[in-house]
Amino acid sequence: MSNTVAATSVQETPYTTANPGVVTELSRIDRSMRGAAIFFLISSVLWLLIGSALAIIAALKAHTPDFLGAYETLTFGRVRSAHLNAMVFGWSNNAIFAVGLWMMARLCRNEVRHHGMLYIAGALWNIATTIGIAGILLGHSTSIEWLEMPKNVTPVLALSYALIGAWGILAFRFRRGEHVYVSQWYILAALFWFPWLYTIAQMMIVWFPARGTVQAITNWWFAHNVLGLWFTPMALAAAYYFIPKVLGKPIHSYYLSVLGFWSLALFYNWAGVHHLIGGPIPVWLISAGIVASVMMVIPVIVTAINHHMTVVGSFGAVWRSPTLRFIVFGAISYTAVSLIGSAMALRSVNVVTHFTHFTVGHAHHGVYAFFTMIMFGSIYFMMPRLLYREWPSATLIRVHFWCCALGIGIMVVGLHVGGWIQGMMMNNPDIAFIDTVIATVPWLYSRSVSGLLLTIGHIAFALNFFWMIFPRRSASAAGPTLLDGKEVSA
Amino acid sequence: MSEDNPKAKHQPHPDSRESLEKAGYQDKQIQDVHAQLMREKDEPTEGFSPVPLFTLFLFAIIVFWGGVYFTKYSGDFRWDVYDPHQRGESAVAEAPAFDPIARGSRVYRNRCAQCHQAEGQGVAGVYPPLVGTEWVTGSDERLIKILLHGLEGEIVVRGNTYNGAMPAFGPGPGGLNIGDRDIGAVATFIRQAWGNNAEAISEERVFEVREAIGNRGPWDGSELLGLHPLSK
Repeated sequence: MSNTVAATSVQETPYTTANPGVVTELSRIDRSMRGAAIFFLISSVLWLLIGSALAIIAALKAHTPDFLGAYETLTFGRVRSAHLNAMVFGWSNNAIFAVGLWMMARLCRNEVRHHGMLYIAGALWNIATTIGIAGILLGHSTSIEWLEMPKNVTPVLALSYALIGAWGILAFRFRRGEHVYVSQWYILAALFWFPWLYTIAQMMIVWFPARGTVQAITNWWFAHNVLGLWFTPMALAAAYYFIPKVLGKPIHSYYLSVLGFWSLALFYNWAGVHHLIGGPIPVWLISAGIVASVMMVIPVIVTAINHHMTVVGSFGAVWRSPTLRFIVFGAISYTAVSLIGSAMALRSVNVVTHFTHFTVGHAHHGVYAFFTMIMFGSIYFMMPRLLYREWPSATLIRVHFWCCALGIGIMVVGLHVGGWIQGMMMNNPDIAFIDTVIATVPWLYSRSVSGLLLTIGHIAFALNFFWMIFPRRSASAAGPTLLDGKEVSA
Repeated sequence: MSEDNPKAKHQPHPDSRESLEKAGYQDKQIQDVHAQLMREKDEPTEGFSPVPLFTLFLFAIIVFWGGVYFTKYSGDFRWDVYDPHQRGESAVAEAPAFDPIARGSRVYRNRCAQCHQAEGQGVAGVYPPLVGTEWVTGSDERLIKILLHGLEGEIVVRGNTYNGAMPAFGPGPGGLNIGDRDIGAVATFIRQAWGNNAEAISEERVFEVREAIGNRGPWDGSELLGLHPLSK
């Protein structure tokens, strides 16, 4: 069935890889991105390992506070913030720069010119991130969630982002071809959304602080929108690109893509205020945030239908392809995490989940099970195209997948169940506060176990990644590295 | 599964230009090097399946719910309504009038009762009592000064000698930074509780005394009595 669909799309569009000219063009585009993309990916994988180490320390401290208790730089408050910033600004953004710009260049059918600028901007970005995280560990955190880095590195981050983002926008400006594909909408929009969020939040909270609760509103507007208007559109762009790409089928419905994109753009921006339910800000603003959070059901359902209907009938290929195994895991997680998120925004649910580990589990559900898994899948597709080599080990990919899938599963279930129990106990005035803390300890152990699994997965991924970049034997073309050895595009 | 075979898909027509020029790169190694590209499927395209009908009903229900919810919990879009269950003009409750006795009792419990005890009886020889002594019910200025700046040195209260160190509660250096209103409230409370019966001390009076003195360390007992002698 998939064959007939693919065959018709080849007939309808002249832009097809059956035409060697198109293959050459794609090859030239890949080549123009090669150095910069590899640079960003190496940075992101290194940050992933650093972030994992910080995560393990923080997770262990949550139930064994004496662990590394003698080091001032490794107190829980600092390590947790350092972990968040390493993952957000180190791993996630570097991965986005590589995957997003590469997809944008391919879809715009235009080579990346003057990519030397990307090296400079990328180096600045990583230096600023390193200084920022060192600053957090040395006690110079701003103590503003998601904006912890000392304020002096933020202009450097903003500048290097501007240089990187501009390349994506320029690629779009000089695109070829009539049609603008759904992934391009998401990437282009996100390239504008992120700098807007970041500069406004820095201005209104850190540089020229607004008065009173406006700071808190801006803080959660920013923190939630980094997920919603930066990570989410980039990950959705990747899912929209790789699912049809690997399966060789068109995406199910253009109309659903349009509806999904515009409803996300319309509603997500409002949703962050649900973090302040019960707080001292005008109640209509919180209600607007709650309604927008529930409205997010619309883009989520639409995207879920669109992806599911594209994949349906090809589950074998999804399971065999490393790219799709990760990306479909991420796409399913997107549906799950978003629906749970909409429910959590309701006042009656929030009264239990607020200020508990439930929220922590939810954040990892979104950033890891959805966003990070999709980035892994994207990297599994990109690397062979950039390096003209295959992934060295299918076993390591399998280890990576199972450790990550099980690890994040344990974390999400553990923190959701533990967080709910914690919330119910905290709402009961007859229970002493310390008892609510003690009750979370077994669930915090489950988080440490999951952190260990995730770290093993990341090490397997990093081994495979660097083995591929620095191969010991010459490139062989035994076919793509698949998860059961049968022939499909990786 | 012909589509899954990358080689079969890329055979151009035998007479085409690509085919004629292909001889140059037929070499297996070059083909192998480009295997990743050669097996690639088309760049993604979109199908045009219609939006499923049930989603329209679902979205209509969600939007309707959203409208109802937003209207119900909008607090009339006022900036000063914070409780989702309040509506309209009735929403803005009058700020409760300041009750110095209630406030003072609270401050007393949190700050003073550890030493002077719950009923103001003190601990003989250690913490002086507040009940039935002119130190409390006499000069308001003396009491305010003690509260603001603290008191050290030997004093006699109801026949017992005390030599402790009362901390400063005012905003000065080393003080616990309690505001004029709360100082006034707690002073009023101890002057009128447990059978004491002296006139209240207002926030303004505390301000007046504080401004007149400025910052200073704790008073000495005899120094203070020199300024405000006890009547007996």
